[in-house]
Amino acid sequence: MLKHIAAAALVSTFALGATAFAQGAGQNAGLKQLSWQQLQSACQNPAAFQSQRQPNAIRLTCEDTQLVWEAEQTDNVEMDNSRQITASLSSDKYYIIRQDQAVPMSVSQTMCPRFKEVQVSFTQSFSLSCQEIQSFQGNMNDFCKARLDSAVKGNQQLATRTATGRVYDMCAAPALVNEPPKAPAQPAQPSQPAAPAQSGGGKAAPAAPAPVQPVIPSRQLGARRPGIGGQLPVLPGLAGRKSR
Amino acid sequence: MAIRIVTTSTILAIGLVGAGCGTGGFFGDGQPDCEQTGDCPDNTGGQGGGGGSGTGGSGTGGSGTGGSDTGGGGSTSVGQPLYWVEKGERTAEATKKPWSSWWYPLWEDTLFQGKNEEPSTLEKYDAWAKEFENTQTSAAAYERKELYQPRAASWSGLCDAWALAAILEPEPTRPVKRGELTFSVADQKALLLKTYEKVPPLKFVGSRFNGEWDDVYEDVLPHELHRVLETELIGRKRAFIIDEDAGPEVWNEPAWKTITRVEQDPKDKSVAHVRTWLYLASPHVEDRNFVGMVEDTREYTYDLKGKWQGDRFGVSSSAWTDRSQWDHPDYVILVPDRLARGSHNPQIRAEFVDRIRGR
Repeated sequence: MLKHIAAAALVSTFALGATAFAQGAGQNAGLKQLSWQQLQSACQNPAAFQSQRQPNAIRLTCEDTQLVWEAEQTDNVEMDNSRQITASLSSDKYYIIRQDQAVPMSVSQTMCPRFKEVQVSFTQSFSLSCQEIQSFQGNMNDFCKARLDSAVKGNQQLATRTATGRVYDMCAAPALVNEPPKAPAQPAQPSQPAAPAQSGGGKAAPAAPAPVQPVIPSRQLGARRPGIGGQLPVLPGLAGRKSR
Repeated sequence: MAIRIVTTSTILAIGLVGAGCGTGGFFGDGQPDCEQTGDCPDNTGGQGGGGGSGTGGSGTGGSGTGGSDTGGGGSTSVGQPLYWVEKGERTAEATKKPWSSWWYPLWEDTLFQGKNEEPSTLEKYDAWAKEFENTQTSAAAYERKELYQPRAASWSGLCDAWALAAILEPEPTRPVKRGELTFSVADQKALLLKTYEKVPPLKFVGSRFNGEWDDVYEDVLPHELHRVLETELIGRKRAFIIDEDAGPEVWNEPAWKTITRVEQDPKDKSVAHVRTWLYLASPHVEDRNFVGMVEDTREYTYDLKGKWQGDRFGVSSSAWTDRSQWDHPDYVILVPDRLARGSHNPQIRAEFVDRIRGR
């Protein structure tokens, strides 16, 4: 005879699944294991399950575990920019040796946030009647989700928040990524061949510029990075670094 | 078969045989109240304790006014209110949080039956008593012969003893080695539970529902529960125990935190609508060596009836509302500051257990 069903449904932001756990009045107490649908059937037609009455003392435990990244603080990061003026002069008799001159330039400022991972957990148990089970459309996880959403919506304080200790610091150890420049967009093909644009002079139309790898001036490395512990002040190339 | 004495206001002494997850230790055997300090754990969280009146209060967002006595039941539709509550939301939790533990069903043999060449908890206890106390005990044999009930109801076990121990005792958090014997966290918790299964009568609020013709399903009445919240959790900041199953099954669990919200009915001046969340410690651990607490919550809705006076509401009676009409606590047990301990297994001595734990 089915006297008690102990079930836990785990509802998570990232995973939705049901785990029937055997503690409480569990498997070893000689209880039959059913699915949610079978339990609904047992409520509707106990005789089909060799019982004279509906199951009672039905308890559903709904666990909600969310792992969320929350912005903890934001650092202001400065990245050095550089400008260089190069002058070359020549005449029919003389020339002046090429001169390079660095010109001061303002830094680029940007924000890099720091996130911490927080586990937000909430568990609520319900004593259910067969009537409730029969009238609910959906599985027990749906039931749990509806109940948990309703509870937390009614009171944000219900959930327990615990920092997991995992921090995702977008300021820390940024990586410089050399990306090949994207090819320029192809000009739209005219329906008829265009006439040569040049009206003389014999110069050819400028060709599309050849791809050039960006050159990172060596002086750009090792400059200032306020407040983030001596990290290289390079571009925050963070793709693929998320550690989850 | 349970013999039940119905009262809602004072100490209950109930004689039970094989009664549920709470097995009968709660229901008195005529032992005197605790007097020996060593056997009497403290439920005050180091803040002192004892009797006195609940004053409600400190939680968040309001100032409660609990009643003067936690036992009260019944109702007074005329005259003085039973107690007063404040409008708004309050949060309060016990100074000492209870811990979770496996609840040792009566049909389970793990207390006395070793597995996989590992001696059982009580076999270790017997070996320890022989080696360190020069005392021959037969706790495992007694448990097997006299207390083991392989055909017991699926829900019957030591949750009553656990609920008390979890409130009154520090949690065993690491294994202890005694000579060649190692007592795991699970062993220590099991032994502790065994010393809380036979205790003096405790103060109940509400009566146990056994499904008898004259049992009252509605109780514990919501204003009785709410008064306990006010006095115990909000006022004294200490946990109490509820049987969270309103039906015949018994699932005693410590209630250690509450969020309760009292709102005025916009039209009916004689009603306060209340939504209360009770945070419970659960005995449903997957690992018997689990350390800490498995949290569970229950949500209850009810109407308090009485009279508003400004933002205060004088409570006279109450009714469960919505699904709490059938899903509400069966009864409440108030946990005293100190308690004499005992076991149904006469071979188990509390002082031995404490020595094993190094206390």
